[in-house]
This record gives sequence, structure tokens and C-alpha cells, in this order.
Amino acid sequence: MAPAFSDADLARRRNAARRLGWLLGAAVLALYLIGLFIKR
Amino acid sequence: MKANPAHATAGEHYFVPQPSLYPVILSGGMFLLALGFIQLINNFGPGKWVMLGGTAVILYVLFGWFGKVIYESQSGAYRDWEDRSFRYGMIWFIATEVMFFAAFFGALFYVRVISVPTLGGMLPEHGFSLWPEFAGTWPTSGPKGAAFTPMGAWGIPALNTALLLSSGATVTWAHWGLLRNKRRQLALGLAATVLLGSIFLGFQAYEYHHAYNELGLTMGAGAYGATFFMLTGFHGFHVTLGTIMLLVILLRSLSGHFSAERHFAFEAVAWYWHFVDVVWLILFVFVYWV
Amino acid sequence: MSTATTHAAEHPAEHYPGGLMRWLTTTNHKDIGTMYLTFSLIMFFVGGLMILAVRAELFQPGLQLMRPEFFNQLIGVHALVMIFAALMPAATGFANWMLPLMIGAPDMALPRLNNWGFWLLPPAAILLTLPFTLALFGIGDGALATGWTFYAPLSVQGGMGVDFAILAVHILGISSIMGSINIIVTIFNMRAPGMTMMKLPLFAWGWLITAFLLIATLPVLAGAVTMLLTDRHFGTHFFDAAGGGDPILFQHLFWFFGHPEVYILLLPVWGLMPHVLSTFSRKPAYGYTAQVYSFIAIGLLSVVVWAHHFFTAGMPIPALVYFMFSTMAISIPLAVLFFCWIATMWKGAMTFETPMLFAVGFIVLFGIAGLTGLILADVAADAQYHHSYFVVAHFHYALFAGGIMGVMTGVYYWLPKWTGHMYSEKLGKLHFWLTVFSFNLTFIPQFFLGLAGMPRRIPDYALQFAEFNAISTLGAFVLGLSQLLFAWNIWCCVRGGPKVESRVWEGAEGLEWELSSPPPHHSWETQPTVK
Repeated sequence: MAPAFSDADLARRRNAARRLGWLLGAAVLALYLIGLFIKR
Repeated sequence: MKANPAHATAGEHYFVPQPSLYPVILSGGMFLLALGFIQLINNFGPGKWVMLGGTAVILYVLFGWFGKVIYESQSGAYRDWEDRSFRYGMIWFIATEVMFFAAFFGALFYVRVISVPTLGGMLPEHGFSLWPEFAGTWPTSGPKGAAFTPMGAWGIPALNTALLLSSGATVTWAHWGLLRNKRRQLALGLAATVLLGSIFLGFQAYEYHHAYNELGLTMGAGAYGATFFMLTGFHGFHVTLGTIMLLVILLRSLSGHFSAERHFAFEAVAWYWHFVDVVWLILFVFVYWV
Repeated sequence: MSTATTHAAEHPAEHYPGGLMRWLTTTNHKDIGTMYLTFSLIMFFVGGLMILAVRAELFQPGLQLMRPEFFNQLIGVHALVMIFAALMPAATGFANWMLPLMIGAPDMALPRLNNWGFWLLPPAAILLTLPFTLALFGIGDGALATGWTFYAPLSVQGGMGVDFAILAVHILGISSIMGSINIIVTIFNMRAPGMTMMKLPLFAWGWLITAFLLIATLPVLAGAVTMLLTDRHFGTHFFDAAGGGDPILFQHLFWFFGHPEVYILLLPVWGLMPHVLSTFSRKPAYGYTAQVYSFIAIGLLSVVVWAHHFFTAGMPIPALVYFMFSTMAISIPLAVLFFCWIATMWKGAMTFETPMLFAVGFIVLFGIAGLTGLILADVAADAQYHHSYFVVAHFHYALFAGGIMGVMTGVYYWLPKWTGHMYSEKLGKLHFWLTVFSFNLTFIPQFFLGLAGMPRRIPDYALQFAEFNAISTLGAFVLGLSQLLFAWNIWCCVRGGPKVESRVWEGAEGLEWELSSPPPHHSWETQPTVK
């Protein structure tokens, strides 16, 4: 019953998930590195 | 992972019982019992009668439901597959009972190792003690408790230990009889076990009477009285249940139930009896002895 | 699928009662699952109404709507209802409906016991809420006013509402234990030929560990409340220092159950997550083995960390340090689970149907619960946060965002399988966004309130907390109202809607999707073979 997705659409989504994963990973790493330089 | 019904074993159909009213009636009975009990201890409404009604309902269901199960068992509805379900079920049920007793043993160890010694040595570093006359030793009824005599281990309790240990042996002897198709040995073993269990209960009733009337040892006798009566009391309750179960098994074996190959009910009750036995041993050591 | 329907047709002579008797007497796992889920939804609204009254009282400083005693009763019964009558029955309902379908079993292993397990719940719910009604007639002074934790000595001194709650907990406990025994036996004994334990669906693994935790801890709770009962009425001194007992003993016994209870509520959801994530990412779940061992590790650790719930009650330093480190150790297997969930989505062809939205929302919000939990696990920091609104916000992120939203994930994921109809995606998505928005609106302010020093369980508060409390109340009412969408969506889906195929979601894998939607009365009467 789920709406059918074309192969091209699914491939696009696969790439998007890969890119977003790297992006989030980089963001988390950046936060971690910035944290090292915060002095209280 | 792919379903392939073509390879399923032919004829292996699990026994799913027909719709039954017993569970919902049992729940109703338990509701009445609980409600009546609350009424009784809070003094409102006819609590005693509500409890009595609930008990009657529960007894009706116990007879009806177990009767139905025995009928299904005798008519051959259960085979190895169903038998395994009952076995697993009983094992994990006994596991819950173990944890129930663990709570009370936990309380016993806590008061003996932590709370009583702490109360005894409270605030000496401030140069005074809250209860200077309280030494924090065991057995005790606490800093504010009344005096009492603790229960000795080597009178009735030791005798009871011997009784329960021998009953564990007689039930195994009965099992051997069942396995070798010696029905007389089965019946005698079970009867002996029921008898030993009953004597145990009689001794315990005498012990309680003695404690309340001569030793000043009551449920209100501080941490010792509370743990003593709750542990031995719940154990005694389980012995009572076990004895009734054994009696049912005795009556069933007299009317020819059970075979050397198929006798789950016997084994379940025997497991239960051994569990009660082991709890007593731990109890004897930590409540009566050390 | 076709095989199963033919087998159902072989039993034309079987008679099943209709109407009310069908539900009272049923031994069918699907009927019982439906009853559990319906009961859970009703009690979710009952518990929700209670807390909306509480939030309304907290909208402004001062006492507007109720006496403090009634306020205390509402928060305690809210928690007991939500935990024991909404969340746990929902998870048991899932298990009843889905376990036999997923593992290729004809039914649950002990069907009559199964029915008993359900029918114990309504009497317990009545016992729990009856004191409110009795108080209207001048009997007693209402429900328990101790909070759901029953701490002694307050609970020893409390009114008869405490007795009602004790007996209700006993009956609820018996119900859960019967359910757990049934689930363990079903998983051990009813699997399709070829389905080894390491081919078991992760949902079944999650529930297996849950069931073991229930068996290990619920009897201890039963023991604890029994001691409370005898302390109240039969003169024992378990929790009374005058007799050598100790109120803190109650806290130990209670939290020996109470902490595993958190995992009892969450493990079924953790088991469900990989199924949903893998379906909508069109990839197999990442790290099956790692997830199984994480479940086991969390199950084992959860029973040895209980005292972190009362770091401030007074304990020797070595005990504090032990409980701190063992608590923090749980974050290791939990992090493994988080990484497995994220890795399941990594490079997946993700589509965002309602269950997937809830699953992703769950990961983010439950992550916040985990991270704030680490703060509370720190003994030194906890002295500051203990018994503050920070704790309230933390455990609502765990139990609403983790528990309830996890249950909603499962409902949207499996509802088409249960009913044979598709729910409204538009309403479902609206429900999701409203829920996430209003949930955060409710509980983010509570983190700040807690940090600023507002204590839990008070009907009135200092003026400086007014703004955040007003925002939190606003969020709570939006949150409560948006759940009506959920109920409406389910109702419409049960009544009708577009028909669905047996494999409802195109990426779904597993035995449950081989059966028709809705599945035949006898699920897998002939067991499938798993390769």
C-alpha cells in the first residue's frame, strides 16, 4: 500500500542519506573539537 | 528469512484451548478478595463477607480450571510440544517465587548488616549516642522495642529441617516408583510426603503459639520479629500450598492418572516442593541459626 | 499467506462466541492483543487527564484549583496509571499481536493464562482509581498521596488510598508476571523450525530480556509493598528505626524493581526500532548480533544500579562510587544501540512515512534522555539536581519520547497489518509534528526550572518560576489535545480505509508480512520453516 518509489528516487534518497550522515558526523566532530578549546 | 510451509512438519498442531470464562471469573474473585481485604483493615463496609465471596469464587475457578486442564490432559490433548510449554512455564513461575523470597531475605540481611549496627553506633563521633543503651547487636527488637526471647535453632526448627529433608527424599522415592510403574511405591511415597508436610505445619503452628504466648516474640518485636514472622510465615504458606498440591497429585495417582512417560503435573509439584525445601534450608541457617 | 487461510477454512465447525462473550472468553492472541492495546489507549487518556489537571494548577503560582493533598494524589496515580496501565499493557499488546506472527507460531504458548493476564488489568485499574470515587462519598481521603514511589515513612502514615494502591500493584504484578512467563515460553517453545535464537526478530529479543527483568524484579516489588502493608496494619517495623528497621530499606527494595522497570518499558521499543528503521531505509538492520548482546548487557546491568535513584538519601562513599560507575556503564551498550540505529539508516533509501518519522524523532529525543541521565548519574552533580524538575524532564524524555513515542511508532507501523486498512498519512504526520513540538514545549522549560532549583511534587512555587511553568502548561495542553488525533486516526483505520496487501510496507522483511492483513484467525497453524 505504500506509495511506490521509482528506482531513481530511491537512489537519490540513498545518496542523500549518505551525505547527511557525513554532514552530521562532521558537525558532531566539530562540536567535540570546539569543546576542547572552551575554558571555564 | 523466508516462510516455506511445504517443509513444516505435518500433523504438528499446537493445542489452543477453546474460549473459556475461567480467567475473567478468577480476576473478578481476586478483585473481591482485594477489595474485601482493604475494607477489613480500614473498617468500612462488610469486608469479611466480600473477602469470603472472593475466596469462594477463586476456589470455584481453581476446581473448574484445573479440572478442565486435568480432563484435557487425560483425553490426550497434550503432547510433547504442549508439555514443554508447561515445563518452561513452571520453571519461570518458580523463578518468580525465588525472587519474592529474595526480597524478604534482602530485608533480613539489610537490617542485620546495615540498619541495626548503624542504629547502635549512631553519632558517637559527636560525643553522644541517640540510644546509649542500644548495642546494635542481633537479635534485637530495635532501640525502642519490647524485650523478647529469640527462637532457638536446635529445638523444633531442627526437627522441622529433618522433616522437610526427608519429605524431599520421599517425593523422589515416589517419583522412582512412578518411573518404574510401581504404583504402590508412588502412592506410599506421596502419602508419606503429605504426612511429613502436615507434621511440619503442625510443629510450626505450635512454634508460633509458643513464640506469641511464652517468648514475647510477635510480629511487632522489631526487626527480628518482622523478618522472622514474614519469612517463616510466607514459607509456611508455601508449604501449605505445596501440601495441598501433593494431596491432589496423590488423589490423582490413586485414580490411575500419570504414566511413566507422561506426568508433568507430578514433576511440577515435586519441583515446587524441592523449592520450598531449599528456601527452608536458607531460612534455617539465616533466621534461626546464625 | 494462502496456506494459512486454507488452514483456517478447515475448521468450519469451531464455534466462537460473539459480542461481549468473545472478549471475555477469548484465548486468541490477536483478540487479547487488541484488548491490551485498547485498554492501554484508554488508560493513556485517563492518566493524561490527571496530569493536565496538575499542569493547570501549576499554570500560575499559588493554589487555584485543588488542595495540595489532591495534587499529590493526582501525580502519584498519574505515574502508576501511565507506567502500569498504559505503557506496560501497550508493550504486552504488541507482544501478543506480533510475537506469534513474527516467529511463525500458531498462538501464544499458554492461551488461557494469556487471557487471565489481561483480565487482571481492569480490576487493578479500578482499585487504583476507586479511592477518588470513595472520597466523594465520604469514605477515606482519596488515593495515595505519596507519589508513585510509596516512600516510607510517608506511605506508612498515609490513608487507605495507600492500601488500594498496594493491592492494585499486587494484581498488576501478577498480570505482568503471567504475561512474561507466557512470552518467555512462547519464544523458547513456539519458534518456527529453523528459527534459531540468533535468527529471532530483534523485537522478540527485546521482549525476552524484558520478560526476564519482570520475573526478576516484580516479585521484589510485591515483597516491598507487602512489608509496607504489614508495617501499616500488622505492627511490623521493616521501615521504622524505632524497631531496628530503616526507611531507606524501602528505597532499596523499591528501586531494585524501579530501575529495571525503566528498561522493562524501553526494551520492547528498542527491539521494535530496528524493524521500522530497516523497513523504511530499505536495508537490513545494522549490527544484529551487537544489538542482541547490548540488550543482554543492559538487562544484566539494570539490576545492579538501583541506588542511583537516591544518592542523596545517605550511603557510604564506596557505595555511591560503585552505583555511579555501574550506572554510567549502561551508556556503553546503549550507545551501541544508538549507533546501530543510525548505521541502519546510513546510505539507506529512506522514506518518511509516519512510523519512520516517529522512529527518527524517538532517536533524537531519547538521545536527550540518555545524555541528561548521564548528568544525573554523576553523584556530585546529582546532589544539585536531585528531586528537581530536571529529573522530571529527564524521565519524561525517557518515558514519553522513549516509551510512548516508541509505542506510537509501533502502532502506526503495525496498524495496517492488524486492521487490513491504511490509516491517514496526513493525520499521522500532523500528529507527529504536533506531538514533537508540544512535547518539547512542555519539557524543555522543565530542564531550566530544575536547574533554577524548582523542586518536584509541589503544587505551588516561587514567583521566579512562573513564566516557564506557564509555557510548560501550554505545551502540555497542546500535547494532550493532539493525542485526540491519534485516537481518531486509529478509530477511522479500524472502521475502514484503503485496503492493504499482506506486505504493507515495500521494504518490510519478516514472517509477519507473509500473512494476510488482517491475518487469519489461526496465525501459523502450519508452521513455516525458516532457512
